[in-house]
Amino acid sequence: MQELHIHFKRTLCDFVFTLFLTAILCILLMNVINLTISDISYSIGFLVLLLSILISIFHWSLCKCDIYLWKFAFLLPRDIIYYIIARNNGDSDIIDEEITIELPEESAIIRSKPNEEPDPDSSLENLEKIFKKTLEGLKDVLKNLWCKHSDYIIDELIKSETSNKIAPDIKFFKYNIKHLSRGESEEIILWLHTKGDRILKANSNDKSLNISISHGDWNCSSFDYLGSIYLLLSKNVILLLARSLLLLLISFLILLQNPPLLLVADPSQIQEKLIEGEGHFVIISAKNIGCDLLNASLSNMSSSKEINASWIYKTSSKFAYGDIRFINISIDRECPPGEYVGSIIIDAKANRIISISFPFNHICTIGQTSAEKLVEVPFFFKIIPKLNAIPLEQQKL
Amino acid sequence: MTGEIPGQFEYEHLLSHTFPGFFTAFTFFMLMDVWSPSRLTELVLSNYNNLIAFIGFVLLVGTIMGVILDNIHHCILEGMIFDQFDEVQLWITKFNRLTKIDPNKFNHCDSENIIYYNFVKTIGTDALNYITHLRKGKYCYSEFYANTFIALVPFSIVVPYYLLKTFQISWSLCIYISFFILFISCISLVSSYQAYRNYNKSLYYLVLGFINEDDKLGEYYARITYTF
Repeated sequence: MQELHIHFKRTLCDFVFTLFLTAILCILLMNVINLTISDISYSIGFLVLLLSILISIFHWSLCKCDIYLWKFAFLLPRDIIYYIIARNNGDSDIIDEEITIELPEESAIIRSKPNEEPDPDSSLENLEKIFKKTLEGLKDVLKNLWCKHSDYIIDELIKSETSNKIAPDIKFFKYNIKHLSRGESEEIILWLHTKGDRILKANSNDKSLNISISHGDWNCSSFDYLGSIYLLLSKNVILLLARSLLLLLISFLILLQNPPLLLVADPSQIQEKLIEGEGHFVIISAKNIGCDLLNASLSNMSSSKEINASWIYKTSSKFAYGDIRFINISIDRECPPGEYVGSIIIDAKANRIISISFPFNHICTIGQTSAEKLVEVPFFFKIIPKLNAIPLEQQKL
Repeated sequence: MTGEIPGQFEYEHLLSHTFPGFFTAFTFFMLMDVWSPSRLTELVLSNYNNLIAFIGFVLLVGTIMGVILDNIHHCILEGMIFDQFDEVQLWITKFNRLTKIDPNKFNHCDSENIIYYNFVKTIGTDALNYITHLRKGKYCYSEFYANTFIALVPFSIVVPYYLLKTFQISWSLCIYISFFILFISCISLVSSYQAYRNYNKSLYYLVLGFINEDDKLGEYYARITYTF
């Protein structure tokens, strides 16, 4: 039951870890596809939660079922993997020799490789047993929660692991070497959950057996709150990387459904010199090379009323991918001489779809972006007076 | 006159440090182009002066980024990922056992340095050739793959936006290109791990060829270095 407790704690920490990572990447992705949290429904939260649960459970089952995959398991701050090499330094072969490894106080063996006895949980046939065990652990925690012990999970995550009551009767790990030729060595890997002391002592009756023990763990003297978080992160960098890559792949699938909002205007800026009294117009083309746009609107940021901008042959409010539209900027004939500076801005909205299919469920969320400024074409018109223009007073006379 | 790489530039060093750095500098440029309202690529290609300025930017930023990427690779990929694998740990354990260096006092990098000094003392300057051969033949490739992985991941994120804006390639094709680059980066990561594991394995066998397991040389040099 105590090992189950550690396993459950591991799964819970793994889930929280994955949830944080998924949530951070989801916020980044939403930012990339021009959505804010207020734009989207609660189903995205459900999607993040579901994705985290699926990743955690799938990964945990994989580590539990396969002896070669457990090295990729989620490690707790106090987990250490020991590498023990037993070498025959003698002149004769060693046959049927037992190695006794004295474990540190209050430590628990999580897994060992190779296993002395076949692990009952190591085959896919026993997957049902694993899920039953998980269900039991889950029921236990839910029961605690129901009984208003709401600090149970928080304690599990935050408190130092001194609260763990690891079975004190596990003191020795015994491994039997069946046959070891002269100069040959055998490797044993031991995954322990320790409390304080980390030193292992190995003994064997045969003095010619040279046993060396090492671990690749960081030397951490204190297991305070920050130290535990540091160890939790540094020990699981591989998971962080692997899951980030997996989530990046999922993000690419979502991006495939949601191209960016992108328009290309030609010309990108206008500078013209005009003569007073002559009407003039400039045509700008705008090509949509991104996603289908909704409510594409045109704004003329000019202080002068004589300069107008309008769409040419606009049939609908939808501006689909690949479409080219034209804008006419016209300068009125009555426009007095002077310099006119301004810009033409096109803004639009777009629909966003986040659709992921699971074998048991299909989640589809549709959101809409806020109006984004897609193109800004600055213009500068200089209208110079006509050289032979007759002043107005003289015309009246 | 044939074109040769000058003596002070080692091809392996350029491969492992500088080329991934150039890649990252180009990613920076693409990111600036994507965020900028103007078209930087067109600006660069418009005349020779701009092109020379761009090449200067890639050389300067690329060299700096190459060194930074290498440090990230040593700290995170090598120190926190590769060294945690059973296969690598077992070779390191064997190496420490062979050299009798206490792993609690020295990390793997220190142990390697100690044994190099031991080598130079024992077999003279030839030791440097053996070590250089091992580093060039195995370790530089591991570094190259790892640095390429670090450079390719941000590249795969930025490239679809750049291709769409600059070359107006269809969005789905841009994303497929990203998928492909991400796949290549994952292959680089696996290759880096394999090269690193092979390097540790080769290092063990190189040391095994010159040190008798009963010698206490390693311990002696460890003590000297520690005191020093």
